[in-house]
Amino acid sequence: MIFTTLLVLGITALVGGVVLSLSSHRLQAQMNPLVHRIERELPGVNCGECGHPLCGVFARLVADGREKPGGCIPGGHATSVRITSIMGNAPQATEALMAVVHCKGGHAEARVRSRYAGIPDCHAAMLSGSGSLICQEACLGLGSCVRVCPYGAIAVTGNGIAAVNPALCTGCGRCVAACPRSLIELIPRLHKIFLGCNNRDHGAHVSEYCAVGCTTCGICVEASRASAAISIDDNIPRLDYTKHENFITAAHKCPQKCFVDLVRARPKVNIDTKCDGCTACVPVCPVEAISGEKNHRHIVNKEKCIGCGICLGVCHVHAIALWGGLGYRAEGLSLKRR
Amino acid sequence: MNVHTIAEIALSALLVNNIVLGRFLGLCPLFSVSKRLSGAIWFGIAATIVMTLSSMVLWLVSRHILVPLSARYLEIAVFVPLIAALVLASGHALERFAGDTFRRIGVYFPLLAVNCAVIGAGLIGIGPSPHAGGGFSFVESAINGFLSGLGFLLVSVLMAGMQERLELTAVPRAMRGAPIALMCAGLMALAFDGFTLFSAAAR
Amino acid sequence: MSSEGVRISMVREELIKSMVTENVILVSAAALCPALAVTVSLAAGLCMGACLCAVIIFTNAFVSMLRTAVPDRARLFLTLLIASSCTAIVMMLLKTWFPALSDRLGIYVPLIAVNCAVIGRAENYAAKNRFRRSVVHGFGTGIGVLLVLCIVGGIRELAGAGTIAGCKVLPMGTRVPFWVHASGGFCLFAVLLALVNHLRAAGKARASS
Repeated sequence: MIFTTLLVLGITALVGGVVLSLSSHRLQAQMNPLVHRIERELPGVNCGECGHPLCGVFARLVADGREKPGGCIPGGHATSVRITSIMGNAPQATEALMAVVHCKGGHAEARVRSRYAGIPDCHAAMLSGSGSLICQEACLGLGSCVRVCPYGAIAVTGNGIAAVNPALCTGCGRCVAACPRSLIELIPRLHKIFLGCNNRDHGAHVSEYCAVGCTTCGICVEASRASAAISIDDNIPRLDYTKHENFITAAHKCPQKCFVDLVRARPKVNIDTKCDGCTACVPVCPVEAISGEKNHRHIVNKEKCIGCGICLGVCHVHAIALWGGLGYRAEGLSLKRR
Repeated sequence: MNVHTIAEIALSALLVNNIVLGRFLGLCPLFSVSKRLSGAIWFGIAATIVMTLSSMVLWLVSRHILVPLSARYLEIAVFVPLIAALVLASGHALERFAGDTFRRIGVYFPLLAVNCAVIGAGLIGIGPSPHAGGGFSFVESAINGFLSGLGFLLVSVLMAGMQERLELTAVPRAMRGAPIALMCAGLMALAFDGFTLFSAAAR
Repeated sequence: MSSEGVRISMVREELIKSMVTENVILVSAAALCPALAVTVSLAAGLCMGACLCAVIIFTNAFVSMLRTAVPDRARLFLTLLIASSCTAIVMMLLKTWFPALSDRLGIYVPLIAVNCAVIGRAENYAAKNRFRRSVVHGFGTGIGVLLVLCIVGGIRELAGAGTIAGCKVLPMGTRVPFWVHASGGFCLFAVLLALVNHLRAAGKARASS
């Protein structure tokens, strides 16, 4: 009996081992080397929260660029950051994205036409009368997006509209699908300005039902004419984030203040003693904040300056620099010195 | 072997003693994989294939290798590594060589390699049968495995539909995730209990 | 002296971690298959829990001993070999000493070999930790599972059949067969897991505030 046992068990182990080693040898050679590195960052519990059965499958899809790094819930924000940095070293890097809600008009700004007293869910409100605001493309503020966010990154503010906390958002995209009005979009994380309006209405009467609603006046298009980064499509401005444009000028010039700037305090420009007074910077400033006589050092009116950085590009002696402010990354946008 | 027996075995495996709701096997991957309907369908199909193959292989190994050596006590020690190796290897092979559809199925093979439902379907196939005297024949065992797999597919699809709906509802915080899914499964099991009318020899 | 103290505190920490904070059934929601199928009575739950405990401890012990000797790719297969051999031994012992219970438990005893708790703990824990730690962790996991199975088995037997370990406790009229059926098991577990979730969330809120 002992002999039979050992024989049978031994043969089973041998057969199984040979089969497995042969098959895994054939497979290992074909895999993208990134997959192993990504898989090591994942928790390996195969819980299925990302929508895929195995951590290995998710790792493979992220390496191929078919899945966003933020999909792993148990891994959380830290894992998503690490995976993004792994992917960043590869030629086909996926850009880090974050979600933004294209609506600014809450209780303080938008007028109501009715009082919705139904199930506190955006989909339910859409089915039964489209909510309580006059604007038919506004955020309903009932929190369908809040419920699907696994990181707690989106919440309904005191003003009654949803807003994303960029620090917690991993760009997984679940809220994008959950919003019945398609208000949420994923934009590159480096950009801090987006449009806070979604309405397809145009004309001055928009300001009657929403103090921050877009009237499609086209001033933002004009303000970013040099880079042609904004275009009007179906009565709503579309921001092209692939263009070399930081949208600060457009955001400042908008008469309805439709843009949302995630940076609380923008840095201001300062001109130092290297300035030779060539006056090249004076005409490019969109708010006419720079003044000075020819061949004398120019000065910046800090009250007017919006920190758009256009003047940095034209100064041939590099006398202009941005001072102060929070959260502005020099390597991001049009601050690249020539 | 007559049609009557086959029909009895088929209904028993599919509905009366459904492998998930009647025999409680294969619960762990079910709740996590059946979060999206498309995934659930492919998972069910993969499970059907694996369970059929597992029933057939285990029947052959048991009847033709272990019984002649009077080593039936070694059943589980042989089955688990064998099935795991076969399923993992075929999963690798499918992913490497097969076209798109089969690759989608192959993805689930590693998860099914060490799954109670797969081994359970095999064990039922070689165990005492309530219908025939001594046990299932090879074909009966294969049919049992195939229809257990279909039962798994059925429950997987039902759970996926329910979980997709549950994502959009306001579930109480404590019940989110596994508890509400189990509750849904419980209500489904209650419905499936009604199928015992089909089988005179129900448990 | 200090090594003794270190050892006792390590044991206590591992036990608490594996039995309570990371209880396989209640927290990880794994190993549900035997938990739901077998707990129709207290005796069956106790027996199954004991078998699971034994297999988990031995599997953890052997995998931890051999973890450096085996390459990464082969480790799952080795774990399966060990687990299924242990299960075969446990099955034979059960059939010899408690044949009635063994018949009642049916196919669920051999399925311990592929139980998520056994394989999962061996892969995620025993493969990365030293022998003593793994054994203690395995012991805690097993006892945790045993306790859960006993409690659930006891509740279902009491509510569903009015008996505890075969002795009639409640009058026949008060029993509700729902709890002994499949659906009752699912619903009871749903409530139990929800309760555990609630307690954990409350504990976390209290800890952070």
